[in-house]
Amino acid sequence: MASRDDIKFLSNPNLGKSRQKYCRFRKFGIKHIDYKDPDFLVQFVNEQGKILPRRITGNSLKYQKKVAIAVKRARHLALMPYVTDLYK
Amino acid sequence: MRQYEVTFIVDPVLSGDEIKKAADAYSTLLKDEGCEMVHIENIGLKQLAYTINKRNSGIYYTMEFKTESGAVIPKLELALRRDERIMRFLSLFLDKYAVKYNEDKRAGLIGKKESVIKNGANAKPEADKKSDKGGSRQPSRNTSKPQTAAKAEPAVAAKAEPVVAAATAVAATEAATTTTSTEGEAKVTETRTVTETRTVKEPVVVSTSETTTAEKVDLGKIEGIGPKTMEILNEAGISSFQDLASSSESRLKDILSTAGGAFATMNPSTWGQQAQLAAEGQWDELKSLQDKLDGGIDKSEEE
Repeated sequence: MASRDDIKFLSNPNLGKSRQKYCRFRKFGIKHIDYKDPDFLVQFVNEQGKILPRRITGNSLKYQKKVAIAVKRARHLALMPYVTDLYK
Repeated sequence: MRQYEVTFIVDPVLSGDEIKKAADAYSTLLKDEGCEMVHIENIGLKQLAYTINKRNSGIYYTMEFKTESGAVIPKLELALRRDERIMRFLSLFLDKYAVKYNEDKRAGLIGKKESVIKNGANAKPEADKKSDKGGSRQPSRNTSKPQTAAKAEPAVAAKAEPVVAAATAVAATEAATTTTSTEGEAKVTETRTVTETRTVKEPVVVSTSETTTAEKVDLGKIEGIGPKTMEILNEAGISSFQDLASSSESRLKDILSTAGGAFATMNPSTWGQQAQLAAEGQWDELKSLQDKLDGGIDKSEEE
């Protein structure tokens, strides 16, 4: 790992590296996920209203479970649909 | 005191009075049972995501209350279930984070980016709930720190930027102006650190980086040390090439193994050598040494 300022490349050696995925709850210290806020929860749900897997959202296991519980509560209270089309 | 929250949906076809009566019936029920009502809110008419009882909309109410025991909950739920005016309900026990969240929400601390930025202790009250709850400022903090360290700026500027950037987002614009004057920077750090209770790493980095202005902290120039390793070393008190050169290999190994994980497998054997050259400013010799090394390990020595 020789990163020196005087080594110059023709094209950026960092090209092609994808963004580092992280759990947004752990990173920003968010401890509680509100089920009454469908606008926030819609981020974790796909166009059919299904909950997205955590390898897509980047959530840690603990917060993925909280998200899932919040979505399910929102669904119970008809704040989010169980199944739909073109949700987003 | 246990805190609970109940949300229920009232049939919208009823008249306004009846809806109010239905909701009030439950608040009186709770009060009669000896609950302390924390909050009652009529969220209003909302479209339902799917039809319930052949209705497409409903009036949402939430009630938050405190009790000593949870014995009132089954009574409440039974009453809600029997009532024909109530379409759905959900009662929950609120844990400490939920209680705090609700309080902050009522105080208006959770909302869009324009809202007031309070202290960073919880990182929750801040700004945009939608994209990143309570922490829209944090991205600027995390990205700017390694960059400022890598830039080899004078210690003054480096001190201002991490501390200021760590505090608030407004600082991102202020950083440009405050780097020019030391008084401004001192004032800024004072006011910021009063409110900022969560900076654990920043002060350590700041104080040690002030040692020498000449060889500023870019330990990343050493082959084998990346930004993360650099942080680990900085925390242990090694922030300049001098420090690294004077640390024994066993000390470096100790630091790495306590850091754990991937760091424990690193081989710091040549770091002292490289650091010595860097401390003396012999960049050409350093470069030729690094050409021989592969990832910081002298392959010719290892058989």
